[in-house]
Amino acid sequence: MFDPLLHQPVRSKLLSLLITNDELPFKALKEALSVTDGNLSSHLSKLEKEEYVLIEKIFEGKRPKTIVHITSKGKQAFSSYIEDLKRFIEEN
Amino acid sequence: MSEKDEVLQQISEIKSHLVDKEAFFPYNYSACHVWSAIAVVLSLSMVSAYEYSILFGSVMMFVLISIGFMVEGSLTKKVNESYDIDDCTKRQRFIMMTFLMMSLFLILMSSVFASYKLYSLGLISWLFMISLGYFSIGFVLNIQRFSKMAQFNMIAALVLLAIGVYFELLLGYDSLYYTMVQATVIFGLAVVPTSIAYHQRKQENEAKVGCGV
Repeated sequence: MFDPLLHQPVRSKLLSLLITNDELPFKALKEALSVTDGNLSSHLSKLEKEEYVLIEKIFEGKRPKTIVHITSKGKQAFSSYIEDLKRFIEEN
Repeated sequence: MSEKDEVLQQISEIKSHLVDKEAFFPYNYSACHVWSAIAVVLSLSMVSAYEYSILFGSVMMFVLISIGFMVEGSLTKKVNESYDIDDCTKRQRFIMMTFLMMSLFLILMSSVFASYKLYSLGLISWLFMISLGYFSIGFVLNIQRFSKMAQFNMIAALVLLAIGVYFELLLGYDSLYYTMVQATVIFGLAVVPTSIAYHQRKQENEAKVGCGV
């Protein structure tokens, strides 16, 4: 019934943060979600595989930085997921 | 938990994460401890510094405030690094600018008051204006404890001012009234902010543990 990729606490919160900010550094997401590097990477890989997010690795001077962007497919999927949640509440 | 409850919880968690990055970047509460220490030094040494000379007093105030801003800047940088953010956020810039402007204005006002030996008035001004700064922080960061503390301090400042004016106690520094003003400033700008910073940090840590996955 619900998008299995988004019907998971960390991934739905992750997309919530990205939908309001379009892009966020990996570290900011990690801090805001209170998850470990490994945990976040694993969730991001799943979202990236479905093209909900785009992961960009850049260098700022000599420092590597990972930026996570939400894609238009990700935005659409998140909106549909919210609609599904609303519909479920209305029907139950 | 029923499926409906789970969905409701999910919606509530999504809602709480629909926030702009400016809103969730944290304030480094260690800065409050630094400002508290400065408030104590400032209220205890203000008279001696201004008695030595107005210029010396002003320079000392300026140095103390500059130390505060430098430490706060480095603490902000540190907290931003944990988020991979290089620049100050709009929110941090707003807090910094509010306090910077207010401090410069207060240094100027204090030197004027000191030249007329109105030391109590100087301290009351610091109490009132810095509390106004805390009120704006409380408003921007939605920290009700800061807002309440600021309101209490501002009322205390006005009451002290009224007492001082009514009983003509504002002049000089060797009175019980001056000691009372000093104690209120230390309590309002050092003890209470330190305690609030401690509670805020504790609350944030608890929230982190609570939503840890």
